[in-house]
Amino acid sequence: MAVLFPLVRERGHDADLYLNRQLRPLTQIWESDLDVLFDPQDFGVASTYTDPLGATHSITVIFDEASLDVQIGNSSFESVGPTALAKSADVPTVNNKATLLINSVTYHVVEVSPSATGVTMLKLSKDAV
Amino acid sequence: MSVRADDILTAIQLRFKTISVSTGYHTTFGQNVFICRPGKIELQDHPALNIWDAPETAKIGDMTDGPASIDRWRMPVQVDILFAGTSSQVRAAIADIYKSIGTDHTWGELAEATYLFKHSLTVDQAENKISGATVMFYVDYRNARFQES
Repeated sequence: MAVLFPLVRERGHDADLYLNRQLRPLTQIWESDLDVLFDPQDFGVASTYTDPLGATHSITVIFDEASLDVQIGNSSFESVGPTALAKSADVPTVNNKATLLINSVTYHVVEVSPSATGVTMLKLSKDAV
Repeated sequence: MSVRADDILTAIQLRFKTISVSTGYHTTFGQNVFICRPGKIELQDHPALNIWDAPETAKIGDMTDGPASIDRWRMPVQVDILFAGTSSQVRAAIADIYKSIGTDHTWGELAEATYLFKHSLTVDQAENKISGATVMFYVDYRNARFQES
């Protein structure tokens, strides 16, 4: 035990150093990369965000229209599940009274999923809730 | 020689195809009626009715003492209603299905009788609101013993 204990301590110390070195730069890199990700030259799409109080804001989102199956009984109904990723700072008060105008189509926000990464996922629909 | 269960499902499909506002129903859900259609039903095929003889047909009796020897069967039928719209239209479609069954619940004397069982509603929201329902009923029929015809 006398021999093993210093080894364990040493390994634990090394692990702390490793995590501190890895996590801090990773967080910083993620925050600075948000602007790159949302750049219209990359994945960003220009949109008009109308907040729940009716004020409009020009923001950039990452828009997706993935195929979606809705199961009803034994049958499957094909649809599309539009979503938008927005910087959380751009949509601080978003709820299901907000809308997004993307590519000349007005989408109603039907679900809001914030995350700790500074990005909020918005589930969209052409129909209001 | 046709199979009785298949004949009944075809009769149900033909009957449901008459569901239209112009024939006195609430909806026009008769425009796309399928039997056991697998895979995805696309948006352009809505509203749609998909008929299934599910989950299993059970023998409910037989008769061997009379002049004919027969088996009696109970076939559960499930109708899936698929609609890109509001739930109120689907409720109207459920009413239409029941009304349609009631016009002749022997399906042209292919069956003894039809018994309504239950229905349940589903609502989801994707690009548009999607509403649906499953309607279940039982069809009792008979055929010559050991012959599904």
